[in-house]
Amino acid sequence: MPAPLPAPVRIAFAAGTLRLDGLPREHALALPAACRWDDREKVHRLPAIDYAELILKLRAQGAAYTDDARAYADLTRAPAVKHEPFVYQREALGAWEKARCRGVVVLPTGTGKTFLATLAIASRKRATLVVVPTLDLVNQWYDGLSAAFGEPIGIVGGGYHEVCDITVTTYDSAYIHMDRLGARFGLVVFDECHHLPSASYSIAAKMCLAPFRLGLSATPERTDERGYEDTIGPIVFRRDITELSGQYLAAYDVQKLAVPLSPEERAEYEGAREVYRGFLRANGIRMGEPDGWKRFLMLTSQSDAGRRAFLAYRRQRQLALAAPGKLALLAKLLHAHRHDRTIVFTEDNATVYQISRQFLVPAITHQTKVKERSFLLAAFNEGTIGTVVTSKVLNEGVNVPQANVAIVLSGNASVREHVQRLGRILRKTGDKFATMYELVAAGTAEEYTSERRREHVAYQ
Amino acid sequence: MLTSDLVRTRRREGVLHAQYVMGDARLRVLPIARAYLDLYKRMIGCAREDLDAAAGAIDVSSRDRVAALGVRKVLDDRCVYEGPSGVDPEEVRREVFLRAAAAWKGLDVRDGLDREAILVAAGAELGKSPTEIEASLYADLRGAEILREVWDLGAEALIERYNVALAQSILLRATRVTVTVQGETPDRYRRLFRTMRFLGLLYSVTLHDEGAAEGDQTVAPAPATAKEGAPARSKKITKAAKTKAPAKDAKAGAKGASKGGSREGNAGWSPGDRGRTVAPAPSPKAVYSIVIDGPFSLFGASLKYGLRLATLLHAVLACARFSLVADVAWGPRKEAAVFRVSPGDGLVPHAGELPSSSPVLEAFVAGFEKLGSAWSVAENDRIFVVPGEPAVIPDLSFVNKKTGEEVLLEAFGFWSRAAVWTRVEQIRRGAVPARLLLAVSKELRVSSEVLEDDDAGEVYVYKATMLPRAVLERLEKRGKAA
Repeated sequence: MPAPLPAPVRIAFAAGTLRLDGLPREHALALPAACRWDDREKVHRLPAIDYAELILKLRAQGAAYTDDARAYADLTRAPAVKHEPFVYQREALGAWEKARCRGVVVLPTGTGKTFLATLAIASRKRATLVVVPTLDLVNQWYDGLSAAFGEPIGIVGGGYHEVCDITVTTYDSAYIHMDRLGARFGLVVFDECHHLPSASYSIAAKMCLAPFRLGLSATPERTDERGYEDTIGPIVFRRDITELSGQYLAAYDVQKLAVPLSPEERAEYEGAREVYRGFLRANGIRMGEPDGWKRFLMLTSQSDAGRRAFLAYRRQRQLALAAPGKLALLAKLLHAHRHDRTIVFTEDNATVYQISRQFLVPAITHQTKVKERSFLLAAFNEGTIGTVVTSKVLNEGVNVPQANVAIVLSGNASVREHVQRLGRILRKTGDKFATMYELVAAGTAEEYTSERRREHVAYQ
Repeated sequence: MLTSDLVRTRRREGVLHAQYVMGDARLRVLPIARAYLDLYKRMIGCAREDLDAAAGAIDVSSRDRVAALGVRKVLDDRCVYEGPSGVDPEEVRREVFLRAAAAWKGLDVRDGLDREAILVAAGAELGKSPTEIEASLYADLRGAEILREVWDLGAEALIERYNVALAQSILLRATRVTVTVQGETPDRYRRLFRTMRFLGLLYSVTLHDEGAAEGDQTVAPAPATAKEGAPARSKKITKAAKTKAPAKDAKAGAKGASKGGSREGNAGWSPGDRGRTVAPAPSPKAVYSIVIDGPFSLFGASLKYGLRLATLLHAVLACARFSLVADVAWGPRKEAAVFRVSPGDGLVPHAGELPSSSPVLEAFVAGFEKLGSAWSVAENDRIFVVPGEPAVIPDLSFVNKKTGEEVLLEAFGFWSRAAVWTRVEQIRRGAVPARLLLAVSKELRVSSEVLEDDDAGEVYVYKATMLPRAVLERLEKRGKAA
């Protein structure tokens, strides 16, 4: 038995940490491993994420304590469940609960992850914070949770700062505000949680005392191979896209279309590329290395030759990304699919606006304001608008269930981005059949990029 | 502040050197800064993308290109841009795109989209020509915003701002900052500590040099590299501080220094001194090292506090003698580096500071000296820190020439009432230096009764100005009580 304490320990939430006031430096309690003596304030301190472990340990030892840290409410309202969960959703919830409600669930885009989160909130009945990567997703979760719970939902981020018992925020806002909000929630849902393990975002997870944590992702693997154990919990459930295709998702088809450059474009492309490659060779830069791009940018700003190399780089990229041949082919595809719901994806915003002006189809970029974006997505789902063009904005989790054609005009080499674009058009509605086109400028560096992004189980 | 691609540094042996625009570089960049300012003033009313193109055409040699871009960023951030007026591009888009969507659907197999017809029809609906429709379609994009106001501060001041912005942009990557200060006024110290508290930063303070025997040190000691943690408390300080538990603290200090984790937090005085006679004032050149980071830093270096540490720079630059050493996680691999700022860098503070909270005391001091009492009076330059408590920085120190007894005075002029109560609570807890006289303006509505006779402090409520005789009375009274 530990020695009796002179006074109960007071647990206080202090800017993302827990302070143990009244516990002398030398003591006989077993505390979480991360607990440290903080000489700056002469207190024991531990990261807020260790709250649950701390309470369990204190209880197990029969230690007296007062808990002034926990500031989250119990939820009284049950969600209005619109339909029975699918089998895999029930299994996922069960697996999560079995893991003490700390863990990551991996499901493909379009398989009702929002609904799963609603089930998790109903299961725990604790004030909940939902953290998402984009303002689009904030809006979408806001709509979904308002409908499900019929009570005011808070938003932190994008010009709002309203904290309610169920609140939606972005990773950026969570990073900034968690040292103040970290005690207000008993459950945190990390949507698209593959964003979380970066050094800066993960501190938001650690500054929050929520005992219950749910991570959601279609693509949990990160290029830096960081996991989720220290921020959310282990991966507790996983279904891959091939296991659910057809049964729960639309069947789909991928077509790769090579677009030749005209002889003039070809000549200009080769010329610009030679200037750019020559500069890389002369300076010993390899783009495949982690800091290759950064070094290139640094060197190009330091000399006139570098400046020319940078302009050449931009020109050859522009020729490959938005070759006139691609736009001509795009016109044909838009015509062929004029009765479908089509999303056109490009790598850069300049091309988005070029296409928007040329074909008079609405653009959605990071510059599109919230209200207009909502209007466009609603009109697209209703069918009054048949095509939208976007860059990276719609990559993740935006609710466009009616989309059935994706045209990838250009893109980067990330496997994740490609699969998410595919996921956009695969949400199951009726017996729809989805088509995806990939337009690649023939005989350019883009062909290699395309090969890399197809290295995913969805294409095997 | 600057974006990371505009931050110019050189790294040598783990030390980052900011490439400030000074000396020759300043002479080269000044005309460019002037050219930017002239261009901006000329282009009021133009679109951002046109301004960008025109600014890009200003001739800059490649060695100064990044500096010039940075100078322009500092200028541009403080100019005012506005969106379009008279048209609602969102309305135009809605009109155009809904029509176009209907047109696309209605196309026959051999038809192509009649773009012009859509623009004409949308224009007819909104009372505009097709050309106007086309021009306003994306008039609200950032590149189309109109420059309305230029921050006309002059090229010299612009470059001063740039240099400070460069230092701050490096501090954005700081995980911990150590500031060494010496011989500042109580007012200056107080602003520094209030700024830290305001920013939610934590600090530990180490007194470096306390003995007059060490001589009149005018130069701050070489700051320890923050990599090794705070400077370990020297034996000299442990002795001089006369704390009750020096052995334990010294042990902890050594442990903290080896781990680079925890640090010394106590300087010059500890609660154990309460009720004992305080030693006479140390040398007026006391040097303090303040190690600054945030609550979560205890669990590992974090960039979370970088913005706050960068914001703090102004309060440090306002000091006359300081050195600042920042631990920085630099570059994409976040490599450990050290960045230093000192008065020799010639950075000029300019941000609005927290207002001064000190009443003017010169007249009081002169009046007090005229009384010819047993007490000498001097401006205090010491910082009293109890870990976990707000720092106490009294304004004046009174020393009894016969007994050596010291009484400190902190004056609350137009400071907030809450601050007086904070201090009163601290005194009740025994968490301030012994014998503190709080001089409080009557306007703050604090009664002198709030503290008991056996508290180590007393409240003196004054009406218009502090009266030397009234203060002397209280000094004498306390002297008798002791």
